[in-house]
Amino acid sequence: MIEEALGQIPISLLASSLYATAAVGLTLNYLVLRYADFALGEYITVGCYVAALLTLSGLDPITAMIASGLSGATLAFLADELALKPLERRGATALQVFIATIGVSLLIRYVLSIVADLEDLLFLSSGFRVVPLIYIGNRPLTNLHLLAVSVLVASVATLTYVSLRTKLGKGMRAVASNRDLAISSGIPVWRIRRFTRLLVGALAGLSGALWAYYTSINPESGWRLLLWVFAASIIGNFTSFPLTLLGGFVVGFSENLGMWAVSRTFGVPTAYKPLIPYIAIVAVLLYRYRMRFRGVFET
Amino acid sequence: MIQEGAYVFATSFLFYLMIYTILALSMNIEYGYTGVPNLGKVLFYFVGGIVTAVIATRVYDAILGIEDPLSAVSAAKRVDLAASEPLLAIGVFVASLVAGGLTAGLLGYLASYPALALKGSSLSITLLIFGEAARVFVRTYEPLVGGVFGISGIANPFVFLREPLAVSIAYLVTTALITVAILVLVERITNSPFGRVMKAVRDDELAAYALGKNAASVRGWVLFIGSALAGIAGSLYTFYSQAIFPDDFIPSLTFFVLTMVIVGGVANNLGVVVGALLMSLIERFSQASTLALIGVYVPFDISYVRYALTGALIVVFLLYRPRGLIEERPVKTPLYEVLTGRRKAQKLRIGR
Repeated sequence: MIEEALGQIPISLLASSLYATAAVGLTLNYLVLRYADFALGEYITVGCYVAALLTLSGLDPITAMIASGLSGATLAFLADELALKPLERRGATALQVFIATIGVSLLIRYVLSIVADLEDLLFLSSGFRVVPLIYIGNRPLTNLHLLAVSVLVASVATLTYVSLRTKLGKGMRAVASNRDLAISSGIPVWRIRRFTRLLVGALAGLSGALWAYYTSINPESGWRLLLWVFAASIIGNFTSFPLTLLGGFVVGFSENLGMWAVSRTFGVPTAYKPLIPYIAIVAVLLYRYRMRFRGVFET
Repeated sequence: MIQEGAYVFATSFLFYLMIYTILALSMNIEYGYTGVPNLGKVLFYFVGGIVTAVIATRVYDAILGIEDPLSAVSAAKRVDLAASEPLLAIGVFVASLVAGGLTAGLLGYLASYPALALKGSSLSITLLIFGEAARVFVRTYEPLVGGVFGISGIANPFVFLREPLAVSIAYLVTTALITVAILVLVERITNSPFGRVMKAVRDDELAAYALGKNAASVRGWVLFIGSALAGIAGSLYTFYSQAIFPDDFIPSLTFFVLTMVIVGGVANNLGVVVGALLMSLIERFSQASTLALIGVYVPFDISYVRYALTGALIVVFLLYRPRGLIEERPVKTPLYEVLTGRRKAQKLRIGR
């Protein structure tokens, strides 16, 4: 019993790190650019494909992972430069920009699907070799789990360093807290926007690479993961990094360890696994709703 | 033979056009007029379908004493009973339509509670996630409507006409009448003082509150109306396909309907109908079966092109024509018509 419960921990850790890495990017995007990026799932998918194809061609996993981070960053950058930034310059509302990211997402996902279908890559497994290191309970802790956790730690550390110590990071925080003041203080808002997009895309690409190492992928992988990533960010209210990280872990652990516990105590079939994160979101929303009833408005 | 194929093609095209029109109108009330981006549209459409499937199968099963509702034999029995009892079939149809609409509407009203705590994008994501949760639940929980394989033998109300063509035309005419009624209803609602309040909530919520309009309650009502309409569409669709499969109700449908609103005209009901027509045409001509008729073959799944095109249309229209093909018009309330000289003042019953 204890062994089985412990056995759920490595997979929970892997899933949580993956969600948290991408969700931190999502929250960052929302803070600095003021829109939730629906196309994030597609940067993840591209990261998946780049990592899988490069490892299959014999590149080592770490380099492949960096490549997928770069490709995610490029895609995120291009999406913003070509579609979303022009839209904002034309005076679109925040809601319209969000709807446009849905359009961008559909466009990228299905162009990718067409290419994958033509090249016969609709289902793909990476060339990453999973090596068990030690056993926790009845399941192994593998190099992949360690990689996932270290990617999360490295991303959070980098992000913290960048935002606290560098000029670009300080600018980022300035834009996040008060955009108008940042503009009038002479902070190069558009340059900071580009830099943020690169970071967001890189985080998504990295988590995509982790997913590709974990399981087989298809052009809809990122879209499936996106809902979970959004769940983590919603728990963090799109504004708080610690809560977003916590959200990633809530989603990852509830879907694995939590599902195991529920299915063991109440005999609920594990097919309901995807419902667990939804329940977490509803609980958080209800809590926040109660907290909010002191005033009518929230910005 | 070819003529029969043409009939089938035409009836199915028209039917889907009408379903899309209802869905797009309901999306327009929410997104276009009130600014609530309900990306959970497919959830309410699905709820209408489920309620219909539950009523239409449980009633017949109770009468026939069927123990295994999922088997093909019981499905055939249900259809036979509906064919021999026209009044029962039509009664079930009306009851399902009303129940489906009301259930979806109430659920929509409940969904306005997260709309209080959340705004814009996080609200729409939450609704989308709820839709997916409902789909996962229904496809896993078999006793409701048969899990992932769905349930069939949901008898069409006009199955007593026997002739398949007669059945489909009778049903098409009924659907057309309902669609026109909904179009008129939506046009009346949006051109009323309530329609004006909806636009006020969309454009400036704070100002709406300052003028004494309860924006939260307006959103609740709008989500009630929009979701009820989507529920009716789901009910109509379930009777049309005579079966329900949870995996038909995926978020892509919501995005497809959203594109109709954006392309046709945000906050313009006529524009939305045009958008629905345009997107239905795109859907038809991005199907392998339709393309095969005109001798076009592509080496990949053609439905990808439809979705990619949907995405491209959303981006292009938001960039270059954000108001859509047919632009928004002022709300035609009686007072507006008097002020613009379209109506004589004494005909107005104001200030009695």
